[in-house]
Amino acid sequence: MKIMEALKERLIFFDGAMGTMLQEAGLKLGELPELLNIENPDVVLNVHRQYLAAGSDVVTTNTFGANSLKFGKRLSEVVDAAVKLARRAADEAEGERYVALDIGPSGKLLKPLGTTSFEEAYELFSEVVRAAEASGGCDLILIETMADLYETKAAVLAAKENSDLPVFCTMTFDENRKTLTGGNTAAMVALLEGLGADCIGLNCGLGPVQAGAVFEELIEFSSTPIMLQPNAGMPVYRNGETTFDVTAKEFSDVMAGFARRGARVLGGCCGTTPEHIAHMRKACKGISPVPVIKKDITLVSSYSKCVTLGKKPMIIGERINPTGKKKFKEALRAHDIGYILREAVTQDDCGAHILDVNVGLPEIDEVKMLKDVVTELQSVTNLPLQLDSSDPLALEAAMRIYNGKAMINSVNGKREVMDAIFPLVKKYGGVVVGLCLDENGIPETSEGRVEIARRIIDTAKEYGIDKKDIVIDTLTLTVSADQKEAIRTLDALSAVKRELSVKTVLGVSNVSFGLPRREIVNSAFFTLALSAGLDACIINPCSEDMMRAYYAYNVLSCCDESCGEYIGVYAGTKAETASRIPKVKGAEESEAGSLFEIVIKGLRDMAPDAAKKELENKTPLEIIEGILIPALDMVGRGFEEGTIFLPQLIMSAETVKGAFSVIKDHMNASGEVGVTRGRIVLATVKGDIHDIGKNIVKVVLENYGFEVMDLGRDVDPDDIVEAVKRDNIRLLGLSALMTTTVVSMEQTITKLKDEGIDYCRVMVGGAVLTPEYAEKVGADFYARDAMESVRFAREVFEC
Amino acid sequence: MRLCREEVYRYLGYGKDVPDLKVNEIIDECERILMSLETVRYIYKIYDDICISEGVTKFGGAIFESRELSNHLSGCRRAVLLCATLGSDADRIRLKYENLDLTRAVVMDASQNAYIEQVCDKACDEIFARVKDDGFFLTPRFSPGYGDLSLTYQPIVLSMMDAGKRIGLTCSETNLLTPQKSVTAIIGLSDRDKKCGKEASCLTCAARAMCRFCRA
Repeated sequence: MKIMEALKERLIFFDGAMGTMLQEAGLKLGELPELLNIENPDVVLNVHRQYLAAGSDVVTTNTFGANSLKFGKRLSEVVDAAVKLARRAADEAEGERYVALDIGPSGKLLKPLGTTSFEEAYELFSEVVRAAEASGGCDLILIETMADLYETKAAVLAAKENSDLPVFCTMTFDENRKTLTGGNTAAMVALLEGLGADCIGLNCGLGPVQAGAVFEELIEFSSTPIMLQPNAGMPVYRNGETTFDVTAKEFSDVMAGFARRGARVLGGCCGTTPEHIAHMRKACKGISPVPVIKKDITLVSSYSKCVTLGKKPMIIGERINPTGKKKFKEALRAHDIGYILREAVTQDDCGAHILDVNVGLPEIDEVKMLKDVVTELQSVTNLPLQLDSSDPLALEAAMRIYNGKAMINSVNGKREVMDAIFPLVKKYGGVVVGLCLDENGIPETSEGRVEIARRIIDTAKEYGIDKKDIVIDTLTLTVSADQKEAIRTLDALSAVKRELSVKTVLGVSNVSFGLPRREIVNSAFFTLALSAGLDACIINPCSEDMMRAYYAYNVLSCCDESCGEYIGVYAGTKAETASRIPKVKGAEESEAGSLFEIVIKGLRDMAPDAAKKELENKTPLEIIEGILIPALDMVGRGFEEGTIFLPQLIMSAETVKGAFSVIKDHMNASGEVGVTRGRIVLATVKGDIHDIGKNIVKVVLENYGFEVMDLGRDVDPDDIVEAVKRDNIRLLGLSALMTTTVVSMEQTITKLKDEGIDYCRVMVGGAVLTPEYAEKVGADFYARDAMESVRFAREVFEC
Repeated sequence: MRLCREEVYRYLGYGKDVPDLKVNEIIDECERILMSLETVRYIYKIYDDICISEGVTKFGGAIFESRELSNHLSGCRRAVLLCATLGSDADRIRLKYENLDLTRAVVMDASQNAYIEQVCDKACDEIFARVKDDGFFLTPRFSPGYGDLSLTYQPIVLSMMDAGKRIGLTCSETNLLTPQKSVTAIIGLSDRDKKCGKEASCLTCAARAMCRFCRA
């Protein structure tokens, strides 16, 4: 009987700690436990035998820390030996016993917070899986003690794509029910079920009692069998050593309680021994397994946030989309991801629950762009994303690296579209939007739209995708073209809910196309749609009219308990609040003054208006040369003299940036061509992720009229040299924080010289650098701070 | 815990000056955010097998080649490893500000620098409470990357402490700690109170001449 069949019939018992047992057998601190598979196999074999004798159905291979970072070319040998030992022990034991390939975390934090890419992590795990597949003998793969959901996703994909074995997966939680990188239980369930893990749960980190709170949440959300491998209590500090002191009996009593309530796979982690397992088996004797209940909950998640569709209506922010937005298109073409990130954060602040992400433009590489944008978005917002593209390749690239269970926008009734998208949803997980249109267009009648919705749901089922993961869009059309359209959309919406009991979504703003004061019609239609049972709406959360309608609807429909949210948003506000975009503190300061003073004082929010006023009777150049630069110089001098400090310098710089943006718009509108004082490439070097210093230099250089191409952080020397060559860049700025990454700085400069690029000067900066050190690595200039970089840039470009 | 203002000012480069109301308001906001972080964690372990000889310190199966560390720990009878982190959420907040509002990012960065040191101070208070009855005093913290103690000890320290698994603290191939606002440190336990305050640690620092944040 295979392990998954056994799991259907009975409780499954895993083993306890391997590390604890190996230490008792004499493993020394600092030694790699996995080497024992080769150097002292009997010790490992003996641990397996003890657990099997204690009643473990499954033993895990001694491969927790086995990856090529630690073992290099010996990895296959280490894994092969481990699998063979576990298999041998399992085969020797009576009855049916199973071997689990053990996979632990890589020990690296993934980008954008760390330097290891998702693909690199995937490859590390794949190597282990492939090695185990080559030796054969495993019955399942156990991915365990994971601290980070994103890394867990890489491991599960590696397991699924390199083997057909069932995948069990557990993560480590703390007493706040959070994973070490801030994920939560619901987000874990959403992600892992989406990826098709066969059993999910918790291990390590907590003792059995503390694990209870996480178990409760697992039971609430999971439709997958639950596995628990807690430690033998919380760590106790005694005589300089960390120990675990929950006895086998105490441990077993709690674990038996979990089994009675629905846990299906039980084992132990740190501090647990064969004695714990034997006791646990005994305590669980006679407990019949509780059937796993399928939960009808529609979950969309990020790494730390889970949004449930179907309770209260949810807002999907629509602003990350180039359609009809000139500035957005410009940002996309210039690969200005910062612009997109600001749109995300603004919508987050305005109350969006999910963000739609559409970066499709005919002239850009959408596959790469969507992937890049999703990667970066994940570092600035924890809102779940709705990936929006008509290109299945772009969708797959983004779904693969998305840290959660995304919404997918969209499929429709066309068979070819469903055949392209549903396999992706099945593989990566997701909640997919189904549009009620097909080869014949959009049906006029509500029945026609319901019919397409039904077809989408049925086809999804063929692919193994549950109805709970489908959200139907009955399509909003323009009333100025045909006034009955709004009624048709709403009728179809009600019918879809009534007849198919499926979740629904609508974009709203189309309805008013061609009419004046569109927000009036939009918000009224929005309210009607909400009362027809809309579960999610794609709108601009920064529109006050829409959000008023939303918060008011929630109050009236009892979705906002005790009107708490409404009061929180509107208490103390006045009727005429024009925009929902939160004002930055300091904006209320009213002493207007001249643009010059505004820059000196760093009153960022007042800069655009002041710049507009100046533009009434001055040319852009007069403002830049006559006001902005002198003001900046004054601030800069103060900074160098120690009378003005870094935050003030940056406030002034950002104020100038605000004024510049107005001036730029003005010039664009009047067809004037901007003058740049020179183009500069900036990068934080390979291996370094400390970015803030470079970002300060960037904003200050831009203030002085230099055009800065920011290559970001952790940038490969090749990419830097390439960027310099491509545009004949005359000045390159490199930043590195630590001695280990100054090496990358030197490599970059050497490469530049090797390629014979003699027209580009290099300035460097960073905490550990000194003028001498800068000279040693071959730089032309050491910039102690942002103002010094300006001085050098002026020298290079003679301005 | 309250954020130590003077330290934030120092990291922002104010020296003995005090920022204006506007900057202080931003620090208030950073403090509120930092105090509600749920990913702040620290672990430590005391080793009693310390052995110090000329430029080499051994304990817990590890060998640290560093003259300055040996000097730092001279006369100590035990060594403590400390790992502390503000966690990934701290990095996320800072990254968010870097894209949205650089002033806030800079103040948040300085606030986080101050806060992680305070977290370490708290851990050291806890260690001291455990060992003071045995007559021990703590030396200041000494970290990989200080003086001649190479950053290459970073992964070794993390592995000795199992820091990835226990508090989610890892390092990159270039030995930078991730999450960024994290500390690993070696502390000596000595019979004598060496009275090595923060100013003293600045006095002995090799980077003193260049450092803009020097307390001494």
